[in-house]
Amino acid sequence: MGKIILAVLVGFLLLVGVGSCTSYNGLVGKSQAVNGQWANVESSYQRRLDLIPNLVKTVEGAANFERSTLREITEARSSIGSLKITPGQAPATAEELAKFEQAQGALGTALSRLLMVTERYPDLKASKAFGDLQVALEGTENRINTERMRFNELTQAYNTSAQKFPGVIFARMFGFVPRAYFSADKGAEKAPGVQFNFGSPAPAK
Amino acid sequence: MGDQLPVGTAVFWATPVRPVALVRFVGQWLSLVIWLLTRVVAGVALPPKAERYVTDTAGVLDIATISALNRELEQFEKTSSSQIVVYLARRVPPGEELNRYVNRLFEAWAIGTKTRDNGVLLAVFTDDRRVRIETGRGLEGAIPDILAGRIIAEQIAPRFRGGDFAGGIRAGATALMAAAKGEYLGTGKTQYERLAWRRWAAPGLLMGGAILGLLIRSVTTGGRGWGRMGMVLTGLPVGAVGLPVVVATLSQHLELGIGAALMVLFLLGCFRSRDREYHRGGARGRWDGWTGGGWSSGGRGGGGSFGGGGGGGGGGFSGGGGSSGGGGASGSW
Repeated sequence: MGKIILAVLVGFLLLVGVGSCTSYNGLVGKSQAVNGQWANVESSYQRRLDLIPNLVKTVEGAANFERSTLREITEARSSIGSLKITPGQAPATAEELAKFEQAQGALGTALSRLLMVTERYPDLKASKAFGDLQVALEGTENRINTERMRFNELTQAYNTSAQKFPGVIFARMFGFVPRAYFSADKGAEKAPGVQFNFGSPAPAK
Repeated sequence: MGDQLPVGTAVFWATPVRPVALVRFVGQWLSLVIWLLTRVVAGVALPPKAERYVTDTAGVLDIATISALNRELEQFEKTSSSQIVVYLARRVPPGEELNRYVNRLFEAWAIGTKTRDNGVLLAVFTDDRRVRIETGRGLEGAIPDILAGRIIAEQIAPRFRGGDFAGGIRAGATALMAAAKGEYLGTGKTQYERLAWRRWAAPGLLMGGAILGLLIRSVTTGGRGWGRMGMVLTGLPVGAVGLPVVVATLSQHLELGIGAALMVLFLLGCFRSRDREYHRGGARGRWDGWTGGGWSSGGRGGGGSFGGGGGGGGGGFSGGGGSSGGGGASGSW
């Protein structure tokens, strides 16, 4: 009888031990995945930043282009530069992420305004350099959306396993806190409406 | 086990075996179940995995163009390991956004190799008059967004505008191949060829198991105990070998895996029914009835779902696990 109880006890302890190990490892892995994806998010935003000097130069070349729009962009860009975020690690708190998002969102808004203003400069719009820039800009916006979406997916996977039983026990024990999400398509974060229509308008079928 | 096989086995138990009707019946039943299961598992939004480099669900390309392109793109994968896939549909599903939809399709089809992410998806939606070139991360250098945009603007859109879909696709694919050429070195084999064993493993091993079972049965036709033994011995290889293979196959070829799983169940059902008959004392044609009704009909019934993949001229396409970070360009015409 005593032996049976002992065996059950040992079995139970073994189960708890193995369970905590796999649960802990799982949480570490998922947490690392979120951080890894954050790097992709950052680099996709960086890609947009890198485009801006080129964009500004091209637009400046156009005759008497509105200075205020350009100033807005350069200001938004420099405010992003002053953001203090630990590189390679996803923001720990929702406030930090919100700050990042806000700064990037301001740039996004400024960019979409710029593209709207360019509608008034047909010569600029028709130039090949500007057309290429538009494509590049749309590409970066699309990358940003893609990477954000994946970031949210991975964060969700992490949060789910950190909050479900039995993971929640070990998450509490080892200090795994839930991570913050990007807000879904806030107005400011939407890709600026880059519309392409190569050449003639679509003829009616 | 019999309880889970309401239709097939019930018929098997109740009526004398009429091979032809049974083959047809089981075939229809199997295909219906497979169809339903693939609907449920695959979800609604995404089309099934491409089996060829060119998939035209809009029906705007002629066979000659499709097979020529398939051969070219297969050759290209052999020499460069980069996978260029063409997908044509009538429209982007309602509620889906073009860029996101094409990206999801890219991920689901896993175009390009896993380590290089060197895939390209050229997606055309004819009724929406929209086109997108999505590049995998590994080809963003060889085909930057600007180049992808130019290929759409200069090669594809003008031809589409004139209604020449075949010409636009061919010109676009040629330009993409020219750009991606030399970026990576190929192995002379396509991903599809490398995975050939997977397509044959499940049916092959199942057939092997069934034949083995037959042999064992034929040796041990003696008493009741031996009959049992034969059943166990048959079930073991079929189950033990079939199940893991089915699981492995499920990830790559869903239909095939499900077909194989059903076949396992079907075969087991056959053995059981035969067993029951034996107990009733019906000594008639056990060998013939069994092989005719069970084995060959199982083979025929499954045949429909196994056929799809291989064969015929330019080889098939199979994704290599590539991923895209949203690179590329979109356009309209």
